[in-house]
Amino acid sequence: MTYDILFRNGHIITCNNNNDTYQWFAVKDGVIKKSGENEPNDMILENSEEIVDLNGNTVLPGFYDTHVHLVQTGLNYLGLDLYHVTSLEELFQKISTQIKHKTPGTIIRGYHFDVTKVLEKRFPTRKELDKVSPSNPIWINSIEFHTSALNTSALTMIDLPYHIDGIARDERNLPMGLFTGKASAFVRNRMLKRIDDRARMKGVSIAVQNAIKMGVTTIHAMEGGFTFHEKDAQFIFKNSSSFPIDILLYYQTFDLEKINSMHLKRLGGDIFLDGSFGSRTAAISSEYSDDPNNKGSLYFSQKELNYFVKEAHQKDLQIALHAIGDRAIDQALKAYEYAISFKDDYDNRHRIEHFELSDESHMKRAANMSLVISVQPAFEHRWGFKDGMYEHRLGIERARRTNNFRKMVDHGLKLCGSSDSDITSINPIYGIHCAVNHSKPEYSVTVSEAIKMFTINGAYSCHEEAFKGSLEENKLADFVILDQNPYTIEPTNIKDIQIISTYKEGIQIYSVSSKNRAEVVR
Amino acid sequence: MKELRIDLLGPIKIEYNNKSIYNKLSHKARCILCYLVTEKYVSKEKLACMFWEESSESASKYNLRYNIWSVNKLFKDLSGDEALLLEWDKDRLIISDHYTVKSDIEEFNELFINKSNEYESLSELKHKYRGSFLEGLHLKDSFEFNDWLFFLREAYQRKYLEILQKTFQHFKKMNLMEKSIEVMEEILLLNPLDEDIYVELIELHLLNGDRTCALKTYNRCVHVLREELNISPKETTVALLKKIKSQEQMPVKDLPRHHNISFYIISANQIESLISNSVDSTKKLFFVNAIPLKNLNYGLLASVIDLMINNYSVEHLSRIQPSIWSELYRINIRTRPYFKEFIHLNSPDTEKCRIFSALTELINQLIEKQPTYFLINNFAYIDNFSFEYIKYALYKNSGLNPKLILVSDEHNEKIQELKNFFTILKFDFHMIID
Ligand SMILES: [Zn+2]
Repeated sequence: MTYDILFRNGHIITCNNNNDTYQWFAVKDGVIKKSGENEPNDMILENSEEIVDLNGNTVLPGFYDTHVHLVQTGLNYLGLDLYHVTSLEELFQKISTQIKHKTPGTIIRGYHFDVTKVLEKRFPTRKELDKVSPSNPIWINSIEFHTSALNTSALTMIDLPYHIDGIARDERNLPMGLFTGKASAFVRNRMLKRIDDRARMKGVSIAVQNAIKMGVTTIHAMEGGFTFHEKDAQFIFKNSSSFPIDILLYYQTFDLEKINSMHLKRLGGDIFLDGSFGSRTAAISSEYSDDPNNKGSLYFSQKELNYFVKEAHQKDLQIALHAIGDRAIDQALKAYEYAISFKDDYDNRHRIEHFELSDESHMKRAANMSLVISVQPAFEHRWGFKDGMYEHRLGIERARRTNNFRKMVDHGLKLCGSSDSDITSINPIYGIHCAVNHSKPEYSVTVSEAIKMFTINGAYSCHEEAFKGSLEENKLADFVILDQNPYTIEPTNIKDIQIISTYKEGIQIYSVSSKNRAEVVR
Repeated sequence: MKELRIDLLGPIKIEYNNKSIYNKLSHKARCILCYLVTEKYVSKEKLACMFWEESSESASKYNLRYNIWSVNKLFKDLSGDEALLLEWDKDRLIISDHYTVKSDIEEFNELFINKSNEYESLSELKHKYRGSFLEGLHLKDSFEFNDWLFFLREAYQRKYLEILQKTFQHFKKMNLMEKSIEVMEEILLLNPLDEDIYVELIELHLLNGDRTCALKTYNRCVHVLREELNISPKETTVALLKKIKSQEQMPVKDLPRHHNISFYIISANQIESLISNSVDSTKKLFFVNAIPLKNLNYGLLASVIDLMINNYSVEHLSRIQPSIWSELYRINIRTRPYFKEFIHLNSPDTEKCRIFSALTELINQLIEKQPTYFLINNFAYIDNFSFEYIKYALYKNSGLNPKLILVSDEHNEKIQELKNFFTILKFDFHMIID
């Protein structure tokens, strides 16, 4: 047996069942063919065409990010992040600056505009935007996606139906450029349709490059459907193989015929059973602490959801449902229980995404059905701290119950880790850090459990564990080299670990040029 | 001839004597022309303010003057020596009446105001609306002009929607299901998020006996609502699903059909042999031509009355009750000698019904028991009212006597429509000779 490359002298954390660590592995045709705990013998050395010295660095399996809105993430690189904008003045300033780099006619897409954060507590009007951008169409999307603001140039592009609900009008009864509800959905659809696939390619390429820098070798791309666009899903479907890492499409559609004709084995992602805590639309069983009389709402009736889940389940598809509030989680569980009661002969690995306000009974039911839970540890760091968003919305007592990873693992649930990019950025090391350093410390998981969320469990969550997710013989040589060992570093410093290089099927696809770089010896 | 044509419904078109001059005009000059054509009499001061909002008074006046000069320069060039834009009444700017100016909005409005209840005008109106008012156009430094655009865009879109709805009502009344569905789809194109339109469509497909399409439309509706708005359909919409499914068991297509009622179709090249073979004293063959004048309601029926009058003696004709002749006078003045008093009834709906029944009586009383064939040549050209009569007559006499022979392609839409209710027979030449 000859090998293409031998990687030696490393601290290789395999993430296999025994949590073995190896010193070397040899790769042929992108697959790990042999590995060992001690020095490779002469025969291995002689039969390896190339030898790479890992310089004693830690090696982990390539990371999974199992919930990414990849096209949106990509398009954001080309657009304007308005999350931190605090006044309309600042907004106009930002637009003016961006326009300088764009040719006239190019759409400027502003995203994450938070009206509660701006001084004026309102959206800009069409005419205000016209003053800043007379020739470039401007499309501003609010953070919760419910409102769109357009200038004249953009409004001229879309052939708005003037009888649709949700058009704000000025004193002369003309469109102000602000759209909510159905009108906003219409606007979003038409604007996204206007964005061509070259822009998608440009944005997604940047997003994928950045993901690779973070050690990601597999992405689950949640595309299409509500607040997204059909064209995004089709783009990923057509182009996923042109990127150096694996991109698996989770199509957020209800069209089973389409799924079937595209030969997809899975569907969903953010099939929104409810909304989010941020916008107080997650379905919870008692009122929001900062909004009495509001418990959020369920977007499906149980009957509808049962029907859809059963249909997809019968076709042996994997389903992923978005459920954040406890009422939504309960609804998702009921739907899965219903479908499984008719047929339980296939390992579907249905998923629940987020699962934020789950309690022990939810966990037990999920474990009974061997569901996979896709969690976003970074959410806790963003919202779970004292006086954070979770506390505002849910009150101190309820906010203490969010994202209890420890309990979930103890109930035998398989957790796969993700960023929900563009909500938080693609960064599995940070995800591992947040899972180990939970804002409620008793909910933390061990380093090993956290790493598994982003490696072998990620593979399990999409039926890929037979050939990916751990560094074992006959699996793909997808791995990352780290500058420090997450097991020995102070846990609170895990976030500082740097990726030295990323390999996909034995090929280096990223490397920092500085210290500790893997050296090609031969 | 100096003809200027400016079309504004849809992407702008500017033509002089049928040749596009779009590229010879600046963007601003085009906008000024569009504004003038729409608003007719405009003060120069208003134009200057509107088109150069940001400039000083003197600068905007200069800019306007410059634009008028350059437009006139172009038109003098094109026409020989005739300026297009003239000053009028000191401050007004108008288009010279040495030019014939035509525009789609003028034609559209004229039709819309006067004739939007007639189907032919509806289809013309629908055709004229190529897209939204000045589609894709805006001025980057004039709020006033842009507001004007949005105001008219909305106004014309609403008119267009009204036209589509009227067209739909028309087809539905005529029982032309496929056409009705087509129009509904156009309405949906304007706003694909409108649940009520899907519901209408589903009902239409069901009426048409097309369960598969009804189900497809239902699914489309549910998907659109879910994927664009993340909402469930209304309960009443969901109830439709039950209705669709309940129709599954029933062979709907057969329900309204009358297998026993039939008519013949032949192709144009069979006419000659049919006529030469049918010379026979026991049978009668009436040959009637549909002519391509779609606007002429009852056109074909008027020809049938002519045929009757030409083929029967005055004695025969005088035996028919005068009230029948009086009814038919509305569509053929040759009936006048056979009655004395008019019958006045004004509702157009009952008028149609009375004409239909009078004509059926006339034919039955004249042909008595003699086996009779009506051969309708160029059936594709038949006007809509006469087409309705064909259906009426087939039901009325169960397709027995007179029998109908239609000269048409089997794929013709109207034949397909008849096929939903009646049976088509291929003409057997022996039958008529025997
Ligand atoms: Zn998501």
